[in-house]
Amino acid sequence: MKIALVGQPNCGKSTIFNSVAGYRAATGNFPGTTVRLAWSRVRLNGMLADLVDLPGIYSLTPTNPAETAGRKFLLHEDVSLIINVVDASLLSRSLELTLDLRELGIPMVVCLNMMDEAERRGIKISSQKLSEFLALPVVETIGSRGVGVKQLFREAQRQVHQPPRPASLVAWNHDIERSIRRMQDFLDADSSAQRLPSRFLAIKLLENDEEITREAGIAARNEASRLREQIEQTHGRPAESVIMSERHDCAMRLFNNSATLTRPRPDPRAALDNLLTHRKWGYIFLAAILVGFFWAVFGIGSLIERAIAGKLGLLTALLLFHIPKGSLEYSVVASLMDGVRGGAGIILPYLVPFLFGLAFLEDVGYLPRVAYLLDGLLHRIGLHGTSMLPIILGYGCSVPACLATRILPSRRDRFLASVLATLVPCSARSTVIFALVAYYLGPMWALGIFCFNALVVILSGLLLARIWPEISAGMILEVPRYQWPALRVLAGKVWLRLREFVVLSWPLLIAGSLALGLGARWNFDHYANAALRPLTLVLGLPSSLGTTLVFGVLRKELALVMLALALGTTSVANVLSATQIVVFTVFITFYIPCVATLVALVREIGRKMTALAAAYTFVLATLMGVAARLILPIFLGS
Amino acid sequence: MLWTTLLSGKRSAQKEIENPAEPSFSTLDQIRPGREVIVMRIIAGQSATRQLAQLGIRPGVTLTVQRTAPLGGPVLVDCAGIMVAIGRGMARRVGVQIIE
Repeated sequence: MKIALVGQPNCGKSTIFNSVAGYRAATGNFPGTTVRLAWSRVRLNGMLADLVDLPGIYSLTPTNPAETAGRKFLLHEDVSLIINVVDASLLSRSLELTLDLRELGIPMVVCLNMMDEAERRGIKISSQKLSEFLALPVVETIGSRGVGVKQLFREAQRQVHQPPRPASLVAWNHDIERSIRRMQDFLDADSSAQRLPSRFLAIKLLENDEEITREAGIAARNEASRLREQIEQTHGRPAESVIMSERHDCAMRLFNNSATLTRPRPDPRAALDNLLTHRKWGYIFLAAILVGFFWAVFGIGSLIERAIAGKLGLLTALLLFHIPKGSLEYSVVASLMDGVRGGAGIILPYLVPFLFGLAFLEDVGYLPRVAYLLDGLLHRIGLHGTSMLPIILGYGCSVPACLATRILPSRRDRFLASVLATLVPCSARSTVIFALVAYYLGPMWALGIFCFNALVVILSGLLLARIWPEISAGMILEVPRYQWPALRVLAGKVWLRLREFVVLSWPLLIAGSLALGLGARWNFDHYANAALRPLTLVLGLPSSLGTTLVFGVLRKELALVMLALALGTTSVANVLSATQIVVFTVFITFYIPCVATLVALVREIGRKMTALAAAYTFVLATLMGVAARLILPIFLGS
Repeated sequence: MLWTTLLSGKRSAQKEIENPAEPSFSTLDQIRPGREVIVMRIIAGQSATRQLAQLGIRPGVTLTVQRTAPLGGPVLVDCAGIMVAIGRGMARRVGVQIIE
């Protein structure tokens, strides 16, 4: 049994999801959809159900691939129940989606979320009246505090087998209703069996929905366009605009009949926005927030690293105490422990605060403000503000960043944004920058690398935009109000990403460490390094680092641990010069994205474009590495 | 205030049909922050028109221009309590009339 959480963006859907799913949440691909959805198995009064958190959609007429994926899931995945999460403070707009969802004929519960926010804005809603008018159960919740969530799922349990009943207040204008009926009759008369309710199909056909029109038969298509013309003649504007206004009026009627308005309380967050989106101060705060974020992650990370490293070293020494040096067991245990230490001692200390900080910025609602501030600038490199969202997410992990490009309607914008998002250092690469450059050369150097990267990303954007010129349609982006994210939700989000590291990369790291240890024992690494000598020679790195660069393709953070292993020491500064450390980091940061990202890229922009992007990043990384090698000694004087 | 904003949707939409040749349209990108406007006409592609409509921006509704970003950046409008950032190029396609 599948239960879908559906709602408009920023309605607090994920908060509801997290308060039920907790740490059992996972992301996974569902057949038929290519998008990764967060889901969790939940128990409803003894019944097992898969609760799926769909991406936010404004309506069932998609305007970008992310919405298309969400709708596809609803239409084709055999959903037993829809929980429609509604932001009560934006009730009238949100009801438009609710009305659209009703037409699917799937059992449904309306979750009136953020009741506290609605109250603050002076909107008093009678959920009982709303429930009567919609002929659907309505449950009030405050997701951020967990209020009402239990009742919501109790109601969900009760509704599973109850498809929506017809409701009186949601009838449309007579002539529109007549057109819908006619279209519906036409579809019903068609012999081929349909799985979807004919009324839903009829409305979408009249709305000129691309996908549904494409899938309809020729006769139905002709009938639809005839009816559309009719509507256009009587109303003087396109049929889809008429239907949209109808739905809007309907939602407004529901709103007026079930809510009363009083004076809103003053909102201190408006003052915050005056500052954070200010023409001048907005940028100063943006820079301050980014630098502060950077310092905090590095500060906390190095603190944890110092605390953990010693203890792990002691543990390793204890384990190796009784094993004779030079024996096979010694090599095996030592390299296994190196892998464990690399994960716990070097990567996790930076990864956890980084993911936490990013999740916080994301959930507090700051990213759309960044998009707003940078839109003008991005236009100069052929992008627009919305493209900034996937690129910022790229600082966390390139894979979700590639998926996030689906919020962009244009194919070309998606291509540009996904290539640029993979160039941005992900948390794994940032770990390399923190643990290597910041730790050994000082945080200013690391900051320099981040700035240098940003510059290269901008230049790459300029270059790519020139190769594929297109006038961007421009940004249309909702800027949600600030929300203080619940710790539980943040933790859930961090854990979802962290788990990927713990179950996927860490074992790989340990296995890689073992392979390298045994390879060194039997001199296998010698051949690999010899094969890669041209590259290490060009970059001016010791040839023993050849294999570590290869490991970076698997997972970027592997390169870091492998570096320590290959050099046979954890105090890298004794073996590598400052220039070499920077060259290594720059190369790792820019060159071919890791395997997981490549797979995601293939899915988003196709095999050919991915190969092109990989080749581009490799050339770029080599050029940047060589440039760093030649330029840095001038400043360092060595 | 909120009442009029919420309710004005339908009333002004009718007004537009009655009198489609409104004399003095400006476009949204020309409006100074703090001004209130009625959306008269949106001349954009199907997808963009839909996107705007989903956020409540359609002919007949009242918007308040909150602020604009420098460097030809977007216009931030308040539409019945929803903040929407509209790129300058897109704002040029939204015909509005200033409410005095």
